[in-house]
Amino acid sequence: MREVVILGAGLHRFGRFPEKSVEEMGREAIWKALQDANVPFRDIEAAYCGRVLPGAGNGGMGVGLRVITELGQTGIPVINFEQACASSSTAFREAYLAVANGVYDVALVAGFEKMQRGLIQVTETSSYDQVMGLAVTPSWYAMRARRYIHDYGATPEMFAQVSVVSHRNGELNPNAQYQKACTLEEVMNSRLIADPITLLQCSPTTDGAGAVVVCAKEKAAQYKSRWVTVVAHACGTGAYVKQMGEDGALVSEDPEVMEGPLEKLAKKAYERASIGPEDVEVAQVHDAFTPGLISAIEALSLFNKGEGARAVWEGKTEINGKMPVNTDGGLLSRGHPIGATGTGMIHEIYRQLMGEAGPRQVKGRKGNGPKVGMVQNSGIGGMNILIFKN
Amino acid sequence: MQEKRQKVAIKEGLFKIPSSPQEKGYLVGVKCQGCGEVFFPRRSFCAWCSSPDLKETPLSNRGKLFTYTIIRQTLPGSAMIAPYAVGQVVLPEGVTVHTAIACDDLNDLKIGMEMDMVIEKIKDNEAGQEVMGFKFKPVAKKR
Ligand SMILES: [Zn+2]
Repeated sequence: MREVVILGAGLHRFGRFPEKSVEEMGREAIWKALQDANVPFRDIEAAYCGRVLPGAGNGGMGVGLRVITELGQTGIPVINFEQACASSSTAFREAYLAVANGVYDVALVAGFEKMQRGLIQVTETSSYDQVMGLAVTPSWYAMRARRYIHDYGATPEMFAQVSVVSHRNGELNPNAQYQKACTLEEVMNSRLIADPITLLQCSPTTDGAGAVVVCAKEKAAQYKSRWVTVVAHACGTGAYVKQMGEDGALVSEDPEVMEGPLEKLAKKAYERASIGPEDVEVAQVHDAFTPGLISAIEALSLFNKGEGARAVWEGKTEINGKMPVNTDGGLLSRGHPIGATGTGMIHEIYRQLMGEAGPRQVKGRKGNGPKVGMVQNSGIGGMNILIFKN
Repeated sequence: MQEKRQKVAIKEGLFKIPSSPQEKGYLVGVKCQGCGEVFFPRRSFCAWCSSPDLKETPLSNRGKLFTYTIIRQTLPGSAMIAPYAVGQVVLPEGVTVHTAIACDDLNDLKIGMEMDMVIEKIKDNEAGQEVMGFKFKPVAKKR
C-alpha cells in the first residue's frame, strides 16, 4: 500500500441556503478544495461523493455526476455513497483505498446535502415503530444519557455543557451554521425534547458541502510542499454481542464489561496507525446529540469510560483544553448536512494539522501545533474512524 | 348490547393476543436452534451464528428497565401522545426490548425496576377492529 495524503480541502458554508441548489454548493466546495490543493480538475482521476436525501432539495438521482461534470467533462468515474450520516467519510475511505492501492494517483472526495427542517424520519410513517412512538432519534441518545447518569453519577448539566463548548467553537468558525455562543442556562432552558436532551443539544438540519483532494504521497510534491498524511482508517458496523453464555446463563449487563463496536473499531485504527489515544491532539467526533460526543470520546479512549461527561464539564475538550474536540463547532453548531458532515470533519482536522485554523487553532502538546488528529463519523449507515498526521 | 369487536395486532406475529380473559398474552421471540440465542422481534437468520433455523418461542412477561426517557413531542402518525415514556427492558432470555411504557406517573420510573408486558388497544382501524400493541408497565407495588 502507498502512503496517501490530503493536498487540500474546501467547504461551502454550512447553514440554510434556500436560494442555492445542491449542485452549486457542491461545486463551490470542490472548487475551493482544488485551489487549496493546487490541483487542476483535469488531474482528478475519480470522484467519490456522499449524499443521502435525494428528495429534499437534492435534485433527483445521480446528483454526484451533475455536481462534478459542471467542473469539467473529463470522463472520470463518479461514485455516489449513501451511508446515512457516515456517507462522505465512507466516500473518503474508498478514495483513500483506491489511491493507496495504486488504482489512481489523485482523487476527489465530496459531500453535499440540502435538508428540510424538523426531525429526520428514518422509517415509514405507518410502521410499527412510528405508531408506537419509538422512532424518535433523540430518544435513543436520551436513553443512553439517562443510563450513563445512573451508572456514573453524571448530571444533565454535563451533557448540556457539550453544547456550550460546541457553540463557543462555532462562534470562531466562519463556515458554521450557528456562529453564536450560548450559556449553560440557555441550553438547559431550551425546549425539552427527550429527557435529559433539550433542543439545543440536538444537531440542526443543514445545507452545506465539503470537498477534499487526496493524492499518492509520491506524487504530492508536484502540487504542493506541505500536506497531511492519512495514517489509518477503520470502517465497520455494529457487531452482535452474544447475550447467552455457553452455560446458558446471561452475560453480565454491566456496561464496564461490554465493549461497544466503536471501541473495537478504534483499537483497530490505533493499531494500524501505530499510535495510542494519548498521541491524539485534536479530534472531530459525531455529536448529532450531546450524548453522542460523550460516548465517542470514551469509545475512542480519549477519556476513560465514565469520565467523558466530567471531562467536558471541566473544560478538557475545549480548544485550549487537554484534548480539544469538535473545534469547528461540531454537528451541534457547525451543522449536520448529513451527506457532507464527514468531509466537514476531515476539513477541520486538515486545517488544524496544517496550522490554518485561525482563531480555532489548537496549540498541540508541544505548543507548535497538533501533529495527530482524528475523525469519527458514525450513523445508521456505519462507522468510520480516520487518523491523520502532519 | 355492544358487540365484541375483533382485535388485531399492530404488527403480525409480534405478540400473541390472549383469546380469553384467563389467558395471558406474550411477546413472540425466536430461538436459534444452532446456538441458543433468542431474538425479538423475529428475524430470519441468527445474528450471532447466521443459522436460518429459528423457532418461535414465547418470551417472559417480566423484565428489568435498563433505561428510559420521556418524549415531549407527539410524532406525526403516532398513537402515543406526548409526554410519554419509552425504554429498554431486558428479559431473562437476554433480549432487550425497545418499548413504549405504560405508567400513570412518569416520575415513578426508575432504572432497574421490574416491568410487566401488557397488551393494550392502541387505536381503531378503518375496518372497525381494535388495533392492539404491547407496552411494558412497572410491576404494581405491594401494599
Ligand atoms: Zn445462532
